[in-house]
Amino acid sequence: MSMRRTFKLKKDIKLAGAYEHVYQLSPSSEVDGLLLPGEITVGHAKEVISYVLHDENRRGTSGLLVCTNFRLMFVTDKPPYCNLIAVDNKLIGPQDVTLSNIETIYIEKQNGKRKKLYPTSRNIKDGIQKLEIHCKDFRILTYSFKLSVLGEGKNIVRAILHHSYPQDSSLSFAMEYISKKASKETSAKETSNISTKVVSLYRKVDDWEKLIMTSQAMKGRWRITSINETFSLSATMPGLFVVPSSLSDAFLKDAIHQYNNNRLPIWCYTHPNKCSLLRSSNFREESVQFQVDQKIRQEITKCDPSGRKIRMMDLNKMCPTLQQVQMSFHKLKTSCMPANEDEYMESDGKWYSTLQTIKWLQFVSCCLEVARTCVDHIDSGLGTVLLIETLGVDWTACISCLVQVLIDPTKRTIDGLSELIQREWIIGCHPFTTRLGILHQPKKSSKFQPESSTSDHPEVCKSPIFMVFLDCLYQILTQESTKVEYTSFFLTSLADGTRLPVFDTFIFNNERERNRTLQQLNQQRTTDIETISIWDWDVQYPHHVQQLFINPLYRCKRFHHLVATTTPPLGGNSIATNDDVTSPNTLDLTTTPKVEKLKSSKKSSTHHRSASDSTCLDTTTSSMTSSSTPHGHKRINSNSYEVPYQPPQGRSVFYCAGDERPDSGRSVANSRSSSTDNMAAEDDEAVVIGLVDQVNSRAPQVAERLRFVPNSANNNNDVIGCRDDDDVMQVKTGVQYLRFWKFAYLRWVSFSQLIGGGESPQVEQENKMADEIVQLASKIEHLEAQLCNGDTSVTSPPPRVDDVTVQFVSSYFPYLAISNKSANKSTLGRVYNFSRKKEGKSTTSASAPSPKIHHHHHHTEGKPPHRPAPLSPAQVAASSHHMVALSEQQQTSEGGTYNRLSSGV
Amino acid sequence: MWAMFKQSLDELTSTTPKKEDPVKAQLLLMQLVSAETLGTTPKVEEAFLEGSCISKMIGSACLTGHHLILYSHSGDNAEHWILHKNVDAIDRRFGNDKCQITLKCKDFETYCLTVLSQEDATNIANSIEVLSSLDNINLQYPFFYKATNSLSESNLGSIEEDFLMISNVSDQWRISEVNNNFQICPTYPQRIIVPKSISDQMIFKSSEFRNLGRFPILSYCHHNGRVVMRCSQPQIGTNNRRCKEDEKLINVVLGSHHRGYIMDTRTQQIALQARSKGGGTETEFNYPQWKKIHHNLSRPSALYDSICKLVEVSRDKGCAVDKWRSRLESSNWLHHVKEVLTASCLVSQCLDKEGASVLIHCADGFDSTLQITSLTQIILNPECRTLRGFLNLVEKEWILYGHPFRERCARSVYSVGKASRDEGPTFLLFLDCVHQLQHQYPLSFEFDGSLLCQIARHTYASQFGTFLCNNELERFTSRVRSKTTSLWSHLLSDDVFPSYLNPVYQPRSDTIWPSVAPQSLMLWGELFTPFVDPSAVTRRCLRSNKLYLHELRSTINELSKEVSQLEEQEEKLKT
Repeated sequence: MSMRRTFKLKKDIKLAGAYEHVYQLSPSSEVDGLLLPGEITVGHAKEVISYVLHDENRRGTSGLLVCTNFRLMFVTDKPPYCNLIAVDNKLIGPQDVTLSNIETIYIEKQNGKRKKLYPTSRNIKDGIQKLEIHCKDFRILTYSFKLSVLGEGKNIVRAILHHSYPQDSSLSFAMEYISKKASKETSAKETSNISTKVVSLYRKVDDWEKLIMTSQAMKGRWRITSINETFSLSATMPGLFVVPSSLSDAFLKDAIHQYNNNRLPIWCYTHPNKCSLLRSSNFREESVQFQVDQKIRQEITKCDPSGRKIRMMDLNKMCPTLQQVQMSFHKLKTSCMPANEDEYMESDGKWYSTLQTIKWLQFVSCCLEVARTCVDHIDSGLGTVLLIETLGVDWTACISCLVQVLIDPTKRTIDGLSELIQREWIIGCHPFTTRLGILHQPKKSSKFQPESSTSDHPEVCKSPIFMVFLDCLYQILTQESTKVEYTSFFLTSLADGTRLPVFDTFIFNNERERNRTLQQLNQQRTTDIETISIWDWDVQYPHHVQQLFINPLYRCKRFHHLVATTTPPLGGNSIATNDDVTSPNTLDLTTTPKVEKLKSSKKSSTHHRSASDSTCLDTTTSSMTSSSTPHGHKRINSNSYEVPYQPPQGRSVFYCAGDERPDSGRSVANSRSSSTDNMAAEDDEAVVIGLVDQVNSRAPQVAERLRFVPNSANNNNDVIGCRDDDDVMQVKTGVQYLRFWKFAYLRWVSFSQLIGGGESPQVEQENKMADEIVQLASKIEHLEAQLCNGDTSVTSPPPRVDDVTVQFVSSYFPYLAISNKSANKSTLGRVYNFSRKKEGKSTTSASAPSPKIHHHHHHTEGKPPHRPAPLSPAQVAASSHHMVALSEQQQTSEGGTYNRLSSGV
Repeated sequence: MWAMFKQSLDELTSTTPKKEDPVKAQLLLMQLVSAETLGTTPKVEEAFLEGSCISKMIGSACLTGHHLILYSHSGDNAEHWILHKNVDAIDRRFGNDKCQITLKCKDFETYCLTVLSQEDATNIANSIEVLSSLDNINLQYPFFYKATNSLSESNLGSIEEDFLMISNVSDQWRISEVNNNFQICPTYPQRIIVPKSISDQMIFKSSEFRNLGRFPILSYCHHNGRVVMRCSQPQIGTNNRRCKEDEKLINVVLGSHHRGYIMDTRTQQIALQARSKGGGTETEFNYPQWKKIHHNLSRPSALYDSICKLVEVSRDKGCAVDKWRSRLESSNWLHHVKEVLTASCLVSQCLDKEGASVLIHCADGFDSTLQITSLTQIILNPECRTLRGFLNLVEKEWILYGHPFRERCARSVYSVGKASRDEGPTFLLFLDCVHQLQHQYPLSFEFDGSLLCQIARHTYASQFGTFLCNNELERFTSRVRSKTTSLWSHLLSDDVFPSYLNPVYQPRSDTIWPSVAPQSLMLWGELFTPFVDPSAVTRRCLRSNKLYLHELRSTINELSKEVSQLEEQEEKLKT
């Protein structure tokens, strides 16, 4: 492709020249097409060199640097030095950075003096040589103005500085964006009805009702109250919340002021054993109405029919302070943003003690430990837990979320987790604006006394609690990757989402603030504008990128029944005559004829099932009524307990609640309650054990054929329960078992990546295996149908995706580019130093010292300047699972043979 | 009574001629143990065993010549065997009502045996103490162990196979019998591969010039024809000896125009100091085609100190949360890992990127030298990342070319002070480096981490004869290979190897460049901190991911079989 381009360029030199002229004159017109609705350029500089990050030779590309009210954008028509593989984000390009992502700005003058700029810096003079931007996501961007017209550098730096530190959330870009977008889209609204995935936002009563009505354990004991609907009683409480039904609104209205920050104890979760989880702020110390607190606690106790005592968890004492977390995060940032490779390698021998002094992992461990304590308490039925914290908006959100993820399988799906975060963090009024430092707060006091000045005022303290929470989720993922649906990429996307001021999710301190801001906006308009939530991922990512959210191991789990049902008994002849079996999409477990057949084929086999297995009984029963396939959701309501076979070794082919991906967690809740409806809740154990025995006694040869386990005889004990689908997750909380989240913190450090190694390639491999299973299963389906009744109407198996050899994916995929040359030397550290020395002597190496800037003087004719290409959908489609296709054998000048990413540009 | 036993045992071990039938020795031994030490109680009825990796057991303890066996009294017929050889140290804590014996094992596990009578306890402890430190090779367990099902010869480390591979790349090599009967080098095998143009006489001369007779010998031949060779330090001494044959031997490998690198795994200073003891390092003057690299790697004794500290930290359950990482760091183990990996990458890069051959040696040439040669092959050669290829590599580099396992692995971390200076986890460090590679490149290895753990455990105490003895000569005289079963045969047998396969293995044909940055190195949890939490649930969860992947892999296999069956049926129908 590049060959062709050069050729054309030679032919049309005049055209190219003319184009260049035009381009030089009005760069903004070229940029306009790239802008989002509501985005306006506020400054630009031409011929800016953008350096390749961490590049030894200081290579870079020249282009146009544009500052808008939303982001800093780099536009170039030069091919990038490295093949940028980047997430195809619809909102922001791979070389862009949002203004709210900018942490600090450094400039370098001609005399080499480096200076940090503050929001208040006024005195910016001409002669800026270099601009270095440190981002909140640990990225470093470096630009040089040595080729630009004098003064342009100064102008754009001023523009960046002016717009990067807003002081009022109503100035946030999101407001511009949604109001402009709404006006644009009213005409084309009908096209957007495709995305029907709905995450409950918990701003309407319906959402809450769904939540509490479906739970048998909550029925009649809890109610929704709307006393704070207008936020007049409490600024920091949700508009709607759940309280014990015995407490009257009048009482609550009174009581609310007796609590710090006006936050009553509110309901978070109820376990089927009727123990609940609640969160609140501290009772006001100066308050004299102790009876209020007592009464509330009494009523909470009454919500538990067994009247177990409430356990109070004072998170002020158990968790680190906000200030500590902020300090720790700051240190973490420093150690994860090395200026160059030597600095990175220098931490040699100190890394572990650095990690220890950073304390970040200790804090993560601490949160997990607190969560585990709560989980143990609730799960073992010791009673209700009440989380208490001074303000009731920080650790309570974190811990309550973690507890629910650990205890409830429905919260481990992407939708379930999203709703949980929405409910506990967003509606629960975690002050995102303050904690993330989105708004610049002009401080009177000196900023170098953080301990004394801010710990006294947790209301204004900046602290990345949400990041601690995400790290905890990551630890859960690494320890139990088969049980959670999300991936590391989902978590980093969430983290990045907090710095993308397009969504209304993370830009407000509380619901009242959001409401007021929106009201102001609406006053100027005739129709109400709709905000966009981060859960609407379609706005940000195309479908194929969203697929990266789904953990292949979790996905695979749902294939087991597919395997089970599509596998006929050996020599079986007429399975598929059953009309039920038409395509893989409609397969389900409860096709009774099959079960009957299997039952009759072998009745005698008995499978011993130990008593410990009864832990999953609850889920077993609940799952009988529902099933899902990887292709779609299908729910069958059956009241019978005719369940298909059970494979040996206690492995269950049926579905526990965690197995499927219920729409917004509803189906499971339904099925759970229906199953409990069907049998007396108290003495169900005996019944169900009988049931299981019954189930086990079927389990004929098919089950044997489903023997997945390697033939090592002695780990039978471990095998039982390896698919145990225990409701409660057991996480190891010790610092020894926690992993440093390289994928999030080091993803921009190019020399720390591994090519073909690390987490991402493994995920890809798992994805491939999952695909293979689906394909084989549907092929069997197809063949069976053909064999048995010559029926060719069965949908033919999807064409097998060509094996794209996705051999070399970087460990930070899909984030970091793999640069052309540094691939091998960079991973080797000192080795490289050695070879470089030698190179100087022998001079046999072909690589002459490369020029500082690489200047291609050709332009694409006619085309607008292209930006470093993200993955095109076509490329991605080539590989079934959106890992990048790449297998370009490349001889670098250093003689290295490295397969590397090729973006195909 | 104890003295009597001791005396007779001494008699036995000293007087038993080496050629005596080991079965007889075993009988004698057992007789002694049962009759003398335990007197009337060779078996203790009320015993209680606890361990970090097993569930608590109550039953009877029984002492045999090689094992402490605990039979459970509860209905499940559980039993637990502890090889005496595996016991590194014994702690006794005798109280009034019960006596505790803590057995600290070489695989870092600890067991606590509780018996009621003090006499029994003393007897057990004393017996184990003696039996665990028997030096006589004929009394070692591998000589008595009979594999339940006959295992086929693994045929690893075969020189013919090796030679065949090399001949594909280069025709400059031949197989020589110069070391027949180990006459020029006891730590090399009898048949070796040497350059074609070098006569046996020259090799003989060269071996006289090198420490312990370990002359430069081929280790690995890369696909571009460049080679890795290993040897020991030249005996230059104070009067600057030189050996033309030795120079010729290594120069001929280079060909006429190429340059090579000599890597000395000592600092330049130490290498030069070694001259006063008759050793030394090659001078640039006498070896003009070679460039010297000094990359300091620690001696086995330093590694021993390091691992002792490491195990102390990793097994310390009560360690404060915020102290853990700095204590880990102060053990310096990961630093050693890093250094070895860096050196191996360096060599790999010389070979692969610079196209230069490398000669590696330390002082003796069987410690850090072997670490580098074997890791280099894993980095460069995809074959070595397969299960069989890896075992072959260990056999070839470590067993055949004389890593002194008997000396290095006689004791373990719990005998600080008692261990000799030769003690050192050189091989374990190598395994840890492989683990790092495996961790960084989870798709590129056919085997998984549990294989490495298993091998690591067998180096210290095993029913297999693989890691017995220091070198081939010793194995030859004790007839280890004919009289014991090989670990490799066990690991490669049909019912064992599938459990060590990596379910996400995807072969790749090129080099894997590891990251040696400290941020990328992990503590080897599976070996050093296995299931500190004894709860069964946690154990299960830890393994579940891997097992789950195994399930998927076999599901795929099942389904593929199914598909092919159906396709066959369909074919039949059509015809």
